[in-house]
Amino acid sequence: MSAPVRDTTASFTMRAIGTTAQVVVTDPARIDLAAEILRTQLREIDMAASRFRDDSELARVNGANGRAVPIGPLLMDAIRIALRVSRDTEGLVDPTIGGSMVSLGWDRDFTVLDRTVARRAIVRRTPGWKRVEVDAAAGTVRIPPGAELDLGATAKAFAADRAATAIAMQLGCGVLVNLGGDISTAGPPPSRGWLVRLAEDHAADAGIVLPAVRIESGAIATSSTTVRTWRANVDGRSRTLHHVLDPRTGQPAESGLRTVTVAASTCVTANAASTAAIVVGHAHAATWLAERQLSARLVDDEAGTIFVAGWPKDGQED
Amino acid sequence: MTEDERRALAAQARARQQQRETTGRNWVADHTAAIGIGAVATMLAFIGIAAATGDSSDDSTTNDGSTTTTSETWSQQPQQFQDQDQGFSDDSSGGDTFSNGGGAPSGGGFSGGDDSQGTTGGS
Repeated sequence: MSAPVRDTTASFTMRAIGTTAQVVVTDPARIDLAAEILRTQLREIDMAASRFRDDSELARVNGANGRAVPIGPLLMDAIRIALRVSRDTEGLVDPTIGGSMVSLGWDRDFTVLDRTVARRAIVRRTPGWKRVEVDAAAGTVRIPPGAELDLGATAKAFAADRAATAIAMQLGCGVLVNLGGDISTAGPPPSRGWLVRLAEDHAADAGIVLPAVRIESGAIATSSTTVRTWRANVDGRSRTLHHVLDPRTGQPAESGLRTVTVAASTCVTANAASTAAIVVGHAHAATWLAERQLSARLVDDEAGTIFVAGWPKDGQED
Repeated sequence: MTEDERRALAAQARARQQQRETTGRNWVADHTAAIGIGAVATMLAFIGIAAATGDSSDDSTTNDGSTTTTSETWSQQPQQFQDQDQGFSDDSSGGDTFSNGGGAPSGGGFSGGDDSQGTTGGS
C-alpha cells in the first residue's frame, strides 16, 4: 500500500517550555490526540532538561557541586546529544555555557526576564564540553564544581524530533512539530510538502507576507541574534546581549549575522548547524555550512541574504 | 483513512525508526571494526577525549585553550564520553550530527501565513 497524501491539515498551538509549541497533522481528526502527545512529551522534557525549574533533573546536575548525579534516560539522551553536537561542531556549540549565560543575566525563564533594565553582568569562561562526564552504564552525569549546563541549543530541537516521531508512529499520519521555530516533521507530508515561512522571529504575526520554502521531510531550524536579547552592564558599559554565546569567549557571538536557517534530516542537526554558523560569524559561516552540505539561508547585517547549498532564493516557487 | 491503512502507516514508521536505529549502531560497529582498537584510540585522542581517561594535563585544558586548576580527585575520575556514539535510546541521537544532511528545500514563494503550516525564526 502506498501512503496516501493529504492536503487538509489541522493545527494546535500552546505555550510550553518558555516558547510557542505547535503541532500540525495531516489527519484533522487526530489533532486532539496529537496535542495530548505533544503536551506530555514537553512536560517530560521540561522536568528533565529545564535550567529554570528548581525541580528539574538538570537543576540537580547543575547544583551537585562536582558530584555524579543519577539521571533518567531522557536527560541522558539530551546531554549525550548536546555533547555529540559539541564534538561535531568542534566546540562551537557547547552545553557548559550555562554559567556564562547566568553571569550575563539570563538566569530565569525569558518570559519573566526584565529586558529593559541593564543589570550588572560579568563575563565568565566556559569549562568546556570535554569536562562533562557521562557514565551511560551507571546512568550518571557529572560536571565540574560551579559549572552549569544549558541544553538550550539542542534540547528544544531534540524535543521537536522526539515528539514528531512519536506522534507519527502513534497516530499514523503526517506530523509537523514547531517548538519556537525549531521545526521537525515525520510521516507522510501533505501533497505539496510542508510550507514553512521564514522569519526573523518565529512568532511573526500571521498575515505578514514572508518568504517560504517547502520540505517533504526532515527539519528546519533558525538561530537569531535579534530576538532573544536583553540589556546588561558589562565592564561598566551598557550593552544589548543576545543568547547565542561563543563558548570560546563566554560572551554573545560577534556574528554579523541576524539569522541563519538550516534544513537537515533532523532538527537537532539543523539547530546545531544554525547555532554554530552564528558563532562562526558572517565571514566564514557560509563556507562552514557548504563544506557540510547543509542547505541554509543566512541574513547578514551588511551583505543581505545568502543562500547556501541549493537553498532556493526568496520568493522562488518550484 | 481506514484503520488498516493507519496501522500500515504506523508499521512503516516503526520500520523506518528501526532502520535509523540500526544504521546508527552500525556506524559505530563499522567504524570500530574497520579501524581497529589502536585507531579508535587515535580517533578518540583526536576529538580530545581519550586524555580525559587519565591524563590530567589535558583534563585541565578548557576548550578555549587556556588552562584551569583542576582538583586531583576530579582529574582522576574516569571519563565516559568515548561511549558517546553508542546506546542512544532515541533515533535522532545516534551517529554523526552532520553525516546525514537533509537536502535543500524547494521554493515556496511567499506566504502570509494562512496557507503555511509553520514559521521558523528566532525564539
